[in-house]
Amino acid sequence: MSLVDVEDLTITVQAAPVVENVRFEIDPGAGLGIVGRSGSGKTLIALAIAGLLPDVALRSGTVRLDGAPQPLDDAALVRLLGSRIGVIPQNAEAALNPLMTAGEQLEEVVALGREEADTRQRVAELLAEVGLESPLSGLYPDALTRGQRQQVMIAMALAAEPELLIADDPVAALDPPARRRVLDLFKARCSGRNMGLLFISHDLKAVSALCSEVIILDGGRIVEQGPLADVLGRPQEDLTRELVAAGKHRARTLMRSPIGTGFLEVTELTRSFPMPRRLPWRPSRTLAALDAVSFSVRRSECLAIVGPAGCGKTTLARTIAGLDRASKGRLAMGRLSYRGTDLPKALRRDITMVFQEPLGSFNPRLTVGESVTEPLRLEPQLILEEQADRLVEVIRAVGLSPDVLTRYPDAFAVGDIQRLAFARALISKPRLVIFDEPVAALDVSLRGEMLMLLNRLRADFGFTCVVTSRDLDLVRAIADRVLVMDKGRIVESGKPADLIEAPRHPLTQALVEARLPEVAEAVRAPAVAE
Amino acid sequence: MSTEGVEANRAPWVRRVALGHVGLRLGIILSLLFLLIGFVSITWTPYPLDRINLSEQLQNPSLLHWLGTDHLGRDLVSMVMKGTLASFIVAAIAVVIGMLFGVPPGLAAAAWGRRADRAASHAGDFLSLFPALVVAILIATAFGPGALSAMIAIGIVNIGVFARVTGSSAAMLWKANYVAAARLAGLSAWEAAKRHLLPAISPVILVQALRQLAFGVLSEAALSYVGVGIQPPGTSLGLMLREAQSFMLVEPLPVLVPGIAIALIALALNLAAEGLGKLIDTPLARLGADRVAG
Amino acid sequence: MIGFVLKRVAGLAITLLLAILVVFLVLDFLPDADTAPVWQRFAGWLGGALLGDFGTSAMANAPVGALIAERMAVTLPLAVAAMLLAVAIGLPLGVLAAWKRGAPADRVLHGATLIAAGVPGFWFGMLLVLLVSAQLRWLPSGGFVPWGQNPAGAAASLILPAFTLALPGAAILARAMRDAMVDAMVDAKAADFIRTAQIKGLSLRQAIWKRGLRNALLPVLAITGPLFALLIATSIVVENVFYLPGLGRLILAAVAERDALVIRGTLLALMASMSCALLMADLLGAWADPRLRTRSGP
Repeated sequence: MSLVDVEDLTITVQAAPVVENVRFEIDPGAGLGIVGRSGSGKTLIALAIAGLLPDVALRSGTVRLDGAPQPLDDAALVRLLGSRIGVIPQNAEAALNPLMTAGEQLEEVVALGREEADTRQRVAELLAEVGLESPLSGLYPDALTRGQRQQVMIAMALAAEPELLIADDPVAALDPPARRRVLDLFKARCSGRNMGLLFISHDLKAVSALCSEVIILDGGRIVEQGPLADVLGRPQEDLTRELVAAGKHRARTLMRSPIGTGFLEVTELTRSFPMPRRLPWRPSRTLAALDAVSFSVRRSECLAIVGPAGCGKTTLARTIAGLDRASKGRLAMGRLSYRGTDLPKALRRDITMVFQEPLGSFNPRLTVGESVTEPLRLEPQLILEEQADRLVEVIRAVGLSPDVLTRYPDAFAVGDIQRLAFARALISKPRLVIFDEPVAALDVSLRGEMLMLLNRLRADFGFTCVVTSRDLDLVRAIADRVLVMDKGRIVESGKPADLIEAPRHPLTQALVEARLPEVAEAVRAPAVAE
Repeated sequence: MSTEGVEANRAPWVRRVALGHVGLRLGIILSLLFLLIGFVSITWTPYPLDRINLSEQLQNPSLLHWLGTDHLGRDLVSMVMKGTLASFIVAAIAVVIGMLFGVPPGLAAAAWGRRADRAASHAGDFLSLFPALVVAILIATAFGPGALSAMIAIGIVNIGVFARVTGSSAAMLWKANYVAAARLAGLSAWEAAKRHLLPAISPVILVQALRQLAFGVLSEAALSYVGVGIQPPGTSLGLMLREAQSFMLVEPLPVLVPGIAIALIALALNLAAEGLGKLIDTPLARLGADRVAG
Repeated sequence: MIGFVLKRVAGLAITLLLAILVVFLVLDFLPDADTAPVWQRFAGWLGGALLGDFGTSAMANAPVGALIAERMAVTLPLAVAAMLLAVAIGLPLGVLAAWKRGAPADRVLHGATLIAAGVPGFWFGMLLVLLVSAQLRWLPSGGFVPWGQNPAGAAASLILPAFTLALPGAAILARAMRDAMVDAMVDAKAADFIRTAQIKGLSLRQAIWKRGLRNALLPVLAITGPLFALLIATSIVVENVFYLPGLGRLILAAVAERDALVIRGTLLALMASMSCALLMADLLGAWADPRLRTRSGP
């Protein structure tokens, strides 16, 4: 008998169907992946199976768990959720209670399941399993990174050793090594303890590493459904083909040899934050976000800075762009030098930056046209017609049509907003553009496209480029040179291919090992087998 | 999701108010009515206030005196009209003081970040030791009581309130990347604040100004009532209560009338502030509702 | 936590000292026979005050310290009673309104809080006198029997003033409680951490009470300190309505007589009480919210 048996599941919100006629089964030990773009209804399916649909959403169809219909009353449902079904909700990193330490919240779950065992011991085990060190259990959620909070939620969902795990985009916030670890853990639970898995993601690589069956979802309807090798190996529908193609980063670097050497020289850059003293007489402590970082950027090259969340790469990016101030060290471009916010006026036009969260970088009260042209005030000599020409040029270059310029940011999909952010950065023809995790906020299916665009823009506009990323795969597609950063220091540098072939530093090694096999390889090998 | 909410939010203020709920319209109309009554009193009141007529003291309402007379025989309708004007003037000047001296430090604190946070929390403690009453007592002792002492006392409280409101909403926006993007586009801190922060926080400040106007009317009443605000022969709603208290048990009307006037003005202003606050909140509420359709 | 307490006590002590200094300097505008430098006079006065010697009042021809001590016995019980009343009335009403969100009960309470926020507190006191004392003759309309003579009588004469003082506070607390509670359970299912509690196997009701109520109390706790301080100061006005011989009547008499020594001493006593109120609320808040103890981290 199947662990989960879903028939004709339809979900309507305010009389509009958002999920239609979805049917699937999950056997013990098997993984089902649901893949689709944002807004395709994946999350609602997960919530429906867990019985946690919001009140505004109405459900029809049948959901059977282990042969029995899903209980409708709160009490029975709660018993089920506490023991047999584990849920990792979307946005899990916001789902911890801010007033309890990570350890206390885990202990609560562990204590619910078993009376006799030593809960502390079990909590430490769980944390280790998801790749967290046990001292973290004494911290409150706001002292943890997004990824760490996510890992705590994953540990919580697995604590009761559920028969079914419903995981809604569980690895999106994780650094590659942690992501790999969690995926391996899921896999071990499936094969070792016969756990059924409902895995929701837009990351085809992760899906193909874990699942034997896959559903491609679009607009609440199933586009394709079947064994992994069939659906992804021989896609029948356009959407599936697009998704499979987008997973491969085929973009290539420009292969143009860098001209000259010192375009931007970074010397001993240090940024430390004072930490509050525990007691007034204790010595003050500092936290170094950047610890004597030195490197140089060559003209026309694309330099990537890779490291886990919190390694200091965003601080570095913002300091170069003149938005943050270093406490020590210097930055020099030509004969002008600065330390961050004191960026000389003469350089303001030359350096710009594209932010990690594209939507947050557009003022919701201004049309995107107004926002994109804002940097033109750096070139007051331009007459109005030249400004208009410049605007049309960059908008076309990023693949949009000029008539979108009168709209407001909330009318755009996140990928198009990122294109507009690129356009805004390029409109004043800067010499150095810093991209802070340029694709982190995008669906995996859009990432390849965006990287290709970035490469094309480099060819068209000829700027020097610094890109930060958490992921080696992306970097390989665009960077000429890579710096690996950890805890505010540069620990290794080299060409992307060399680093991937022969990583020396443990962090680089972890990043390399964390890379998931390409979809094509995974499809050839059977999915859940050890 | 429809875009109606967004459209409505970009519509002109007047239209949004007209589309707003009943409380908002009632609040605005009542506030304007009292304001009008106050201004009319500059040129005309039913009876002059400087004429004391002891033969007509403490009369009941009649066709001649719609709300009766006080212990000095003065017409209560005329008194309330003048008193309303005085209350509005004191409260409005206190709001101006609060905005002038409160908004700029609030903006600066937002730009300064964490260090300003700590300074602001100490300043908050300090200011909560100086409620309007304490400041008014100090000024009244040192320089003598009057309308000015009330304005300054209430104004000082307002400074703290405006600094806090501006600071907290600006701090949130200051961290937004579109402000950083503006800095990249060569805007100075001040230009970026003017272009990106002020339009976003000015509605918040406007709503707070209405609230502080209500607070000012109430505080003026309290200050004048205990004798550290407006002094006779001037008049204000609070002073009327002070003078009527001794006759309260004989003739309650001179106590009821100004009190009701104060309560209605404060209620009207608070209703308007609440209604406008809801209008501002729309996009936030919409964001919350969107989360369902993941 | 010890570090937090020490920091908070030190911070408030410095703030209080600064406030007292400001009071001293402003009142220094009054003509004074003493010609010593202002710092010396401030230090001398503060030193004396710390030992209980506030000087002698010209107005009452009595030691200021004794006057203050006698009046504190009225003002402090009044303020504390009012604060307790405000909490006892405001919080349950706020919880009720949040629980019945959107229902008639919520709307009635909302209207009531709006009106209560607009009614001048002292005028409400006058209405109470008119109704409860003059019409119903249940309680005295004013005046005060000293605690030593007749404790029950003293308490009885504080009942109406305490209600008067509590009304605006109760309205503020009810409003804050309702909003915080609604925020915490905005569709209880949508609040992420409450949903987490459900996922972990707590029932919805358990989840709301265990998580929602505690989290909702935090913003309310944050305003209790300033509110308590404000109530202490506002008692000056309310004492005037009920002819209570508290600090308020003392200070207003001193203002009329321009008796700087009495005003200084009384304000010192008032501000010290207000600082204590702020401190207590802060410690309560930090006890309930661990994040406050480590605030100002990176």
